Amino acid sequence: MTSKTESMTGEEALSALVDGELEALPRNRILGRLLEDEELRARWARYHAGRASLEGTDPGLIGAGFSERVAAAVSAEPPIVAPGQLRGARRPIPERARVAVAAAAIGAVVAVGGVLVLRDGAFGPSAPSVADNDRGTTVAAGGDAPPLVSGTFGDGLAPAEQDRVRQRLAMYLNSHNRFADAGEMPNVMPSSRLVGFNAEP
Amino acid sequence: MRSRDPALRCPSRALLVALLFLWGAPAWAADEAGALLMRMAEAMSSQAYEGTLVYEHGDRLESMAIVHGYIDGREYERLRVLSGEPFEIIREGKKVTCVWPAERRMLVDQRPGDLLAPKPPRNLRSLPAHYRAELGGTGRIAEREGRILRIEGEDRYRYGYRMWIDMETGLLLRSDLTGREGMVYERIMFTHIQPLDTVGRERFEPSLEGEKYSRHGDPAADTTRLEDPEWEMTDLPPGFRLVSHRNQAMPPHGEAVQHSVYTDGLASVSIFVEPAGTDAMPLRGLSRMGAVHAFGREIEGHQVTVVGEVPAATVKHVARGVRRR
Repeated sequence: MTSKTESMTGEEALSALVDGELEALPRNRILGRLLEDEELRARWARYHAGRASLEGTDPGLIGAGFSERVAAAVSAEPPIVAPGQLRGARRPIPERARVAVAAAAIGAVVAVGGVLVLRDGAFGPSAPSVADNDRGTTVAAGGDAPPLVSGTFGDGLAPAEQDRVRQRLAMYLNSHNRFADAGEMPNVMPSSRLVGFNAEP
Repeated sequence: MRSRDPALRCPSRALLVALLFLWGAPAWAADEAGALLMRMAEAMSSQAYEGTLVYEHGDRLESMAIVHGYIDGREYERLRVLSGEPFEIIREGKKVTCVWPAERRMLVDQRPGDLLAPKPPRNLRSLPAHYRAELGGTGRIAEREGRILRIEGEDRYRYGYRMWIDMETGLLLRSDLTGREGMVYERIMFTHIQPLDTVGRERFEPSLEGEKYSRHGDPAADTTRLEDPEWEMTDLPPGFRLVSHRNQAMPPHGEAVQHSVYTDGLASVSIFVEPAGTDAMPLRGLSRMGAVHAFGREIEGHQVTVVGEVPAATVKHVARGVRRR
């Protein structure tokens, strides 16, 4: 039996990719094609711009509404509790947080999962630029949020292989982040990365 | 009406004053930006505070709770994820403890000591070379007024930062890690932050109690500082310097891995060298996870993996400069 995604035409698949509706496997396939095909990349960029125009959003601000997503993610969270109170607390990811992450994924340029295996080249040219709106002005802290780079391009690895690479990379990342406060930046940065990489996907 | 200022009565003097002002202004602005960065670094290491923050990376968004303090000359920090599987990290000076409460598992690690002088609290005397900083406007984060500080890398080997720094306390309220095109690779933002007068040591106890948990990573046994590493870097991107060499046993093979850490003052890069063939599917080429890039290659029967919160160009450059002594 042919699945819905397998029966898509190239145009439909590209459109679904832009809309964040493509499942992982076909998404990886079309991302692979995007790497190879310059014309396809140009069309992908036009689709993105077109969708942004239809939605009345600035293509350079895909991912705006960051503060709303943050609010959704944290509103259900409890205040800090004393040590020991967490013991045995296995809470599912709040539905609102899932929605928030989904919103982030839709706002993303291309998402292929937690770990992204790249080819040496960069996809670059069609990446949206960020509005430079913080020079000498008072800005809203959340509404101005520029797009977050949230994914890039697979190199044809099967999902199982990607998972193995992800696990391997996670070990290096953990070790790096435990000692990445070698620089002068606050601990909160490497610590957040360490916690973030160990959080449940 | 004639100016009362004698310097302004003479056009040439006025011009000279204006030129001096214009010449000095950028340096003054840079100094102000640098001073704000230093104030933030100092505040984040020495002040006691607690709060909640969100960390956005890749297509994921994690919310976390943090408590931080400086007790008897030692920096303490406890950060735990609020959604999904419980996980927390506790820093006590150079000791780093990772705790998975649900699995009753704990990993204790300790940095064996910098090659450079130890620096708690952080010793950011000036903006590191190869970065430039400028002040922006203000923005409200976590109900606090923040001054925006932009830090840009001067070349393709480093990311930039856009930071919101609390005007009252100097604490970091939000930080965006940005690429050269202005794209944001990761974002850390407090949704609530509360400066504290004092904080007790008990706030930094792990969420596990009793004996029934597995503890890994005896610092003395698993990590040794390397005085004479077998592998060296022959070509580093400008501004990067060595801060740590050590040997560590890494899963899954348990073999000793040479782990070297380099920094340009703000960002850091790790180089792991281990015998090849221990992994059926070693990391080859470039990978990315949020802001972190990794590059793997094989050299003389060894797997070399470079990892850091730096652009792809940096990890590739570093990986290509690794040589056996």
